[in-house]
Amino acid sequence: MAVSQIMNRNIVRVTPDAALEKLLLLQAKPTTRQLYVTDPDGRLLGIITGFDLLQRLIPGYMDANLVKLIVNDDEFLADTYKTNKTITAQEFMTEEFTSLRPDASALDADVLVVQCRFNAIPVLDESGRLQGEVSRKDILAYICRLAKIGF
Amino acid sequence: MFWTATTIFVVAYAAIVSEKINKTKVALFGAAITLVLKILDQREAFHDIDLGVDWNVVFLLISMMIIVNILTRTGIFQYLAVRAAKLAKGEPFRIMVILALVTAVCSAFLDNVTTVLLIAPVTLVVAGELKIDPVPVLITEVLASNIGGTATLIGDPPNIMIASRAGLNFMDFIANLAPVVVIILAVWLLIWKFIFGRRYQVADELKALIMAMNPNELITDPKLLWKAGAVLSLTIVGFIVHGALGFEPATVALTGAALLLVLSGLDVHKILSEIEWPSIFFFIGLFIIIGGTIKAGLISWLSQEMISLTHPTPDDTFSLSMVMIWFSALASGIIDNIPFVATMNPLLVETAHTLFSSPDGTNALQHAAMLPIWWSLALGACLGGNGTSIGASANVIVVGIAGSAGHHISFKKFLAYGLPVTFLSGVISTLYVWIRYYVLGL
Repeated sequence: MAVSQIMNRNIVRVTPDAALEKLLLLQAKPTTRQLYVTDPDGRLLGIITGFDLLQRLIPGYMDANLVKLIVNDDEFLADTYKTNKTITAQEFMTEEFTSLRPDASALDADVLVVQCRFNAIPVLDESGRLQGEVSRKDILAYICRLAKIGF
Repeated sequence: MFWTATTIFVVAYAAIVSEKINKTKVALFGAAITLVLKILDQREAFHDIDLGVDWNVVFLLISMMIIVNILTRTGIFQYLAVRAAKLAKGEPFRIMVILALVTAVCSAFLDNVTTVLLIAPVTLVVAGELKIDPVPVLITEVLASNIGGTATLIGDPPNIMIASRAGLNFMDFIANLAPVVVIILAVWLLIWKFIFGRRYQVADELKALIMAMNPNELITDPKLLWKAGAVLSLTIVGFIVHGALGFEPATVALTGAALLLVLSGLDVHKILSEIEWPSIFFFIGLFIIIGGTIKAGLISWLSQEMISLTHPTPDDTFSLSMVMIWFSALASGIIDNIPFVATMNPLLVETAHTLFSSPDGTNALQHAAMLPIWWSLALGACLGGNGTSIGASANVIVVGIAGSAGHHISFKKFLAYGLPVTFLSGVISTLYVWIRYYVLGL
């Protein structure tokens, strides 16, 4: 089956100048997998995952040993938020991403997800406009349908 | 052959300086062309002591990287940095000085990059708790690291290369370079006291936060620390006596690394995969390119030019020493000091043979009038790295760590600290070399 038939069209798009505050709020919603940064024509420019946001809020020098020295954890996190408050989506989105065409097969999507450990893969038309995403859950739901397993 | 070897050398140097292409790729590609065009044959490149790869340098570097890699897993560096902050009772300027001294001592025996890579993050945490600007402290640490690394044979790669080429041992370096390093540190930190002594004012409750830190928590693996500490101590003892026992430094380091690999019980794949192989292959490629220029006659021509410029005689090498300190310092501030020293070494070997070769077979490289030149090269090349933010690898690392914490250190900002300190180091080194070797004749 083509990915266009199993993909999720209900995805979260943001503009390149979206601020950290907005990105955090959107990504913190339980239904959001990743944020898609698009231009006014709907062409995909980059992707921001929850991991990207968390990584941004932990300074690069911090590690599991050093964190033992931090007396006030909440203050530390609040400070790193303040330091990064002004950054925008385009400053830390991942610009190199793998995408699928709407006519790619569900198996293509499954193999890519496993091979590259993606959470979800964007689906783009010929001119790079974002159509939807195929996530791990979308593929699992499709396999359930194939195997005729229902709830 | 002369022009081909010279072209490879010049193009490789330009490519390394431009940083457009990875320097290891440049060095290996240059080495491959040197071999394919038969400027050097493979036997010369791999086995000739004068023309080929200096395996003493290569194995010393790999072995020390193994020891340091295992040592970093114990948390000892972070422990020492927190201890230093507590010893300073949370007083910012004292913290700055004690951390500089800890960094200098660690860098004298271990790789500068690893030292700053582990001490800088603790500095950021401590500065964060004290709510002070960490940038002056971080820059002070990296300057101390480059100065401390100058003191010993294993402190900085240029010294490893000079020792191997000139046949100088660990104690020669301690006896000749450690005194001037101590003087530079003392004078520099005294000047720092006038500049930074009163700049930081911190409330007592913030100092109390530092005093509440428990460094013992940072030791991740006490058993491994005992083993690694014992092996490192033994290795340092080995370095101290290697000259007397007739071992090369690489033999000492390799024994230490092998012993620690066995004792640690750690996965050898993991340890070896974390060795900086690109740096090691950079050295290997560089040695072959330079070997080509030695064989083709470029180095002996340059040596003749240097001799006619500075007029050294067996009785007076003062002007050559001075040129060596200041030219090396300037060059090392602009380019990587490793290719610089890799080029200067054979140049000085050639000069030594021209000036001091005698029929009785005495070692021209260690002729009494030649030694101050080697020390001048080591001082200039190691201390010159402090000049700019790209002068030494450790500088680049600290600028990166500071940036990751939201503290941008611009090229200009680093220059404001590094250049005066490099100039001060150069002046003290000049006075030291002049008084010790040319006035007192020690």
